[in-house]
Amino acid sequence: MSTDTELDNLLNAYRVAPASAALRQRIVQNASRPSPWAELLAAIGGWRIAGPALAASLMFGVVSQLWWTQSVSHSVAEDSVWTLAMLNTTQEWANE
Amino acid sequence: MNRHLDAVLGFAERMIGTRADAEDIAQDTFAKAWQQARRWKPGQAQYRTWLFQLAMNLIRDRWRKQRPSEPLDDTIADTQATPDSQLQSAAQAARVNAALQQLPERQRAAIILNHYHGLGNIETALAMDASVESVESLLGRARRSLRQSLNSERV
Repeated sequence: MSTDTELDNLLNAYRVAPASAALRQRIVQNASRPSPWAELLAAIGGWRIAGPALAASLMFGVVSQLWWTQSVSHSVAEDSVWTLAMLNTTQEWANE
Repeated sequence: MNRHLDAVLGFAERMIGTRADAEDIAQDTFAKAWQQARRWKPGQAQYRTWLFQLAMNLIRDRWRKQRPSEPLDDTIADTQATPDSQLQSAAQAARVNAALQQLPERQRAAIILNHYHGLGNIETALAMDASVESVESLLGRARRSLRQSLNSERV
C-alpha cells in the first residue's frame, strides 16, 4: 500500500453497524428518568414539604446547640467560683 | 439524538473495539450531554464535536478502570455482497480494527475523527482538547503506523 487513497479505501472496509432500536429506546428511557435525588425529593413530598422541614430541622439544630452550650458553660462557671471560694457545699465539706 | 447516535456509537466502537462497551459509552455520552447541556456553547464547537469530546472523556475514564477484553464481533459488510465477499470484507474490517487498536490512544482518536467522521483538523483538535499542530502530527504518525501494520499483515 503506497498511496493515501489505498489506505483510505482499506480503512473504509471497517464499517460499524448503526445503533439498534433497543439502544435508542434505552437512551430515551434513561433521559426521561429523573435523577436519584429528584426521585428522593418526590418521595418525601417535593420542595413544598421538604424545604420547610429542612429549614425547621436546621433551626432546631442551631437553637438546641446554642441552648446546650450556654447551660453547660454556666454550670461549669458556677461550680468553679464556689470551689475557688472554698465554699463548696457538697456532703464531704458539710460533714466537717 | 437520532442524528448523532450513530456517529457517537461508531466513534466509541472504533476507539474501544467492542460493541457492548461502545453501546454503554454511547448511552453514557447522551446521559451526560443532557445533564451538562448548559455547558455546551454553540460558538465554541458544533454539537457533534462536543458529543465526541464527552465520549472521549468517558472512554478515557473507562480505560483507567479497565481495559476492554473481548474482540470485535459486530462489523457490517456490504448488504448487497455475496457470502464470499462478505467474509472477505469482514476479515478486512477485522484487520483494520486490529491495526487501529494497536495505535496509541491519541493517534487512534485523531484518525477516527478525521477519517470516519470527516472532522477537520480544527474540530478534531477541539474534540480531543489538543492543539491543531499536535493533531496534524498525530494524523501523520497514525497514517504511517497504519500503513506499516496493514502492509506487514498482507505479507
